[in-house]
Amino acid sequence: MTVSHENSPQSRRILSLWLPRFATERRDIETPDGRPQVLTRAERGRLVLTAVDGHATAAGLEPGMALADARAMEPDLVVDEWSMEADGARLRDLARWCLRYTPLVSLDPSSSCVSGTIGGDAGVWLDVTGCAHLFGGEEAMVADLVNRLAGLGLTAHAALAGTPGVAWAIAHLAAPARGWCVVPDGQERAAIRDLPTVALRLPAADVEALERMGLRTAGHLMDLPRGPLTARFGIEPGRRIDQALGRIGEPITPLAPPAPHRVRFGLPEPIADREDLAHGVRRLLARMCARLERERAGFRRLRIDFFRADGSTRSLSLSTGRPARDPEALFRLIDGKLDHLDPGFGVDVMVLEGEWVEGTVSHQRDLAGATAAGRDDEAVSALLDRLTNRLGPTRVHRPLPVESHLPERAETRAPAQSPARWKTAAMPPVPRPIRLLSRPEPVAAIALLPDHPPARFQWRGVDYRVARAAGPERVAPEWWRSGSSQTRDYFRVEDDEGRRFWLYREGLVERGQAAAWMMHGLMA
Amino acid sequence: MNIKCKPFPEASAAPADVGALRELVRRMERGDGSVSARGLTLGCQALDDALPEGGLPLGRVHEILGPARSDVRDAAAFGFTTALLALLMEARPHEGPVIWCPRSANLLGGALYTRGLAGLGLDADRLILVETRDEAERIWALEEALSTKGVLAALAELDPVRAGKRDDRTGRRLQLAAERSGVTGFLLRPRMATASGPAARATTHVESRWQVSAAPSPLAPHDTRPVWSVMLERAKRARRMTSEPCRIAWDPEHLSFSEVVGRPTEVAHDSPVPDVRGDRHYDRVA
Repeated sequence: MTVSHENSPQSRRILSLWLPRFATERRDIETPDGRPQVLTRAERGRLVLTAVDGHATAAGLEPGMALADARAMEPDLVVDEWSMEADGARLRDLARWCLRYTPLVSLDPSSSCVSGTIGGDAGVWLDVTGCAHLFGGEEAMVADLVNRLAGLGLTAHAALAGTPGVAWAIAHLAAPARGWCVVPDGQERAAIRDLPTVALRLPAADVEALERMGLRTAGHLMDLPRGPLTARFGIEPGRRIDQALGRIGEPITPLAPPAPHRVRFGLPEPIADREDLAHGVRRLLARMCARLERERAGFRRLRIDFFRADGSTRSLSLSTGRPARDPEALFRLIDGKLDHLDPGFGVDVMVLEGEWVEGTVSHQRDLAGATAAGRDDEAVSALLDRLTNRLGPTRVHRPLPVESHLPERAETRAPAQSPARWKTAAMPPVPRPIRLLSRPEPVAAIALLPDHPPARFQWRGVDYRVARAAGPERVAPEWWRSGSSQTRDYFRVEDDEGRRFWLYREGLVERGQAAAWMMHGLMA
Repeated sequence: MNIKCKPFPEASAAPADVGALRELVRRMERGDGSVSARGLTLGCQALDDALPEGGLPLGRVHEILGPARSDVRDAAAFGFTTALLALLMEARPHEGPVIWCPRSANLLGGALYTRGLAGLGLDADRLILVETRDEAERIWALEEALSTKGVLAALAELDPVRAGKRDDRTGRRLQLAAERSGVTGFLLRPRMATASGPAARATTHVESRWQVSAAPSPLAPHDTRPVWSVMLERAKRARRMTSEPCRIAWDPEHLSFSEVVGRPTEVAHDSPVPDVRGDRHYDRVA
């Protein structure tokens, strides 16, 4: 075992945040009630406490007890059913709020609200490498996090260390009374030496087995030769020790991978005024657009997160049809959306992220400034952006051909900026209707002979008398697709007032199959 | 006293000057001084003769009325409008897209079918569809498109006008937007079910208003050209009103209108047997 490894300079700084009573406290915040509160779930035919709040703990209750026993000890209980999904969703909200400190935030998979084990606690990792100076140093940042959560009514323990393992251990088992602590770089080994073996995040069975051998602290384990330890207890204890000491990496999976184009605007005081928010958006855009100008790139999609003082976030997103980096134009697209933004009691951090950034092709400029065609193209592109951003992304589209003989499958829709493809499409040799019914409607028709076009027909309760007809055009079903229909014979039919319809007969009459007439569209 | 008066300038100007002056006045009225583009020649004498400048004026808003509930049973107005757009695209090959705002709420009449529109000669590559939730959004989208230089034309399908409800301001706004940018606008709506009197007329500020309905085809049975009955109901500065509906056929191959005359192909009214002379070819496909 070499010591030099452990003392090598660590570049990572990980913050582990532990909320021991998250499940009950978040309910207290939403519906305050002074009485002891417990959450339960059914387990082997009885109700078991999964989470207890501070009052209930004071009364001697703890997670894992049967509800009947708990009632015997404390009759005045508020009992609620535990919902891991709801707690998990709230925890994700909280984790998103933590993005104000760093773009790399992930949920602790072993905590109760994520894994579904008993306890009602929740954990979050923050990879704050290189972020602390924005908040006045590591101590100030951790204190700020814990104090803000305490202000919201959440008990929070936080520890900052060089590895996730040590940060986790300190936050869970050795947090000082103020709720947070910072382990200086290189002190990981000393920090967890005297902690019980649970601190190494080992399974309960392993902890018990180690206990029987008299191995009670992490220090005991670290001092043992690795070979016999692995032979006796498997690979897990050794791996956890290595992770804690930083000998092998332990990646944390961020909620959302951080975008390389990200700017942050922190405010000394929360703001809620629309004008102030607009000003903040302008500043973010100006900074990012200046950078994009240097990189010769532009936004295709961007998102602005507004971190509210009450611990939640609101987001606005925006997409454009071609790379855009004109801050004024982008601001105009966002401006209308600000009306619907609810700042709550105020927003104190705003972050702009370019979710999709694309290189631009600069236009050839003539002496007068810009070519007329380029200007018009840009105007049309800006129009499509305006329409898309107001009406919704799927509502502005262009039709595209699909190689299919079935009329209802022969075209699809694509975003308006996608390339056009009709020039190369194979067009049917005979006219098609200009309006196609979304699904063919049955028609009562009389034909002189089984394979003739109809002589008269009734559609939607109105009788039509056929004056002219052309066809048939046979369209065979696509047998390679399941659920394909029958062979269709299409007829173009004109009634005696000149209205033109597109009807088809389903089924092969020449083989004696029963024919059904369907209306499929209106001809020009 | 012998005072010599300065003579007045010649009071009567030549007819050509009157035309030029009128043009000048129109330009001054518009206020932007832009020279009005020549109209879009339709290629059908009866219609072109009636229109000012010998064709459909561009950079204006035109209204096309189909018969009542036309989107449900009768696609003639859609066909005629598509034909106008195809002509316009042909005349301006290097200009931008056509923005079409369909009335998607009403799926009774089916959805626009691009293969059919392309079959009428429309360049589908230059077509952009804008779905909206209601008529207010459709008019907003239309106005945005009309005020964007670089768009070739913008079209909105509107609801039938309720009796007694007029919206002059919308029409005037759309018309002004179109004049400023040079984008041609089309309003496509079914006529009201019962009335066709003045109360049912909505937008008074449109440049022209057309009534289109299906017409029995007098063409040879093999002729697949669609035939419509078209009436120019009103047009600003129209040279002549075509008060009589005029039957025209549209040729998608050559992109031209032509007037058709003659009786519709004989309809056998006394027997249910139709006069079927359709070409009976089987397109064995798939």
